[in-house]
Amino acid sequence: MNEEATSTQSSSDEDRIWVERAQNGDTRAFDELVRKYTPRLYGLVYNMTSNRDDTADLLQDIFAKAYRSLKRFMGKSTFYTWIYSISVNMTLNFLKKRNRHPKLSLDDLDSGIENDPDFIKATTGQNSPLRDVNLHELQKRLNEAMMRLSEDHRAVVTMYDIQGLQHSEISAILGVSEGTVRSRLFYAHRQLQNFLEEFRV
Amino acid sequence: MNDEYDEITKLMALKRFERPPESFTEDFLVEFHQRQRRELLQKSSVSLFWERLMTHFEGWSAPNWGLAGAAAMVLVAAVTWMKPAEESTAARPLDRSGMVPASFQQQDSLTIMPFIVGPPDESNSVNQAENGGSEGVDLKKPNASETKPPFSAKPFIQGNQE
Repeated sequence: MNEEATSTQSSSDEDRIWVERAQNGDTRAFDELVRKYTPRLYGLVYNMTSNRDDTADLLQDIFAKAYRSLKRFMGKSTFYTWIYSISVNMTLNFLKKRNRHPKLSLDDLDSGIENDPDFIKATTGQNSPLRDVNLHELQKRLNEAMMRLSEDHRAVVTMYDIQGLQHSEISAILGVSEGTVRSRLFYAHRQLQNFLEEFRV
Repeated sequence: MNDEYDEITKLMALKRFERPPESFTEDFLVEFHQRQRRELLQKSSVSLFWERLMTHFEGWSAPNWGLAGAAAMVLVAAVTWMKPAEESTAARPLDRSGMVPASFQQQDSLTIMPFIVGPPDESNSVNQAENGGSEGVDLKKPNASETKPPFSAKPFIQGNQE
């Protein structure tokens, strides 16, 4: 745990240096921040939208907004919290617009995880209780279950269950109390339990 | 109950393996740079000038803003002082053509001065006012007894009554 805390602190210090350099006009420093956060934000946005094209477009918008707003970033929170807040808010706004003009059905959800070697190893290992499960079916059901959640619940599940963030971090990103985060998680899990009954081990 | 939620958490954690393709980040960065260049070209020259101006003033500290404010006030004062004099009302000549000297002005019907110091026959105008104007009223010169003022014009001296 101490190692993890030290690593987080070190990462935060590194971010601060890059942010200061980027604020002074060093575009390469901002590129470093983009390289570092693209995979993590991709996971966040993709698990909330379940669509790769929308994810790529949204990430462009998110980093463009971050670049424009970087001068106003005062360092009161970490860059990590700040960029996550921008991402979550922009994704939630996007989802609201998409819900008003729905063109995505659950059948359109992206798939392909079943070919990921790490995923196969995790699910078909000798000790894995999921080794007899159809992986494509599992991935499809996971995506469907996520899309059935409300946007706010989906955001919390994405950050807590999928990305492994702490309650306090999610609370800071969303600007709500930790109690609200726990409550949203509780209700989201209860819904997911029904959707994923057959895959529970 | 907690065990059940742990199972859900484990199941959802499988979605961690949904990652972008390996070349995604570098391709993404190239596209990001292209987008930035495009946005820069689309910006108007005015907004670019404004942005550069703001960037220039960003380094200024508070006392310098005070100096800038004072300079702006001096500029405004100078412009006001240099305005052409013809707009000033003080230098405009007066148009006296329609003016009448105060001594020629007619007294209006509400003047009560004649009752106090003037001759009794000038009180006709007051009677007209009391009767609702000149309509239906005899405008002949009244007798001296009819036009007796409501009080004596003679000064009253105490102890001199006959």
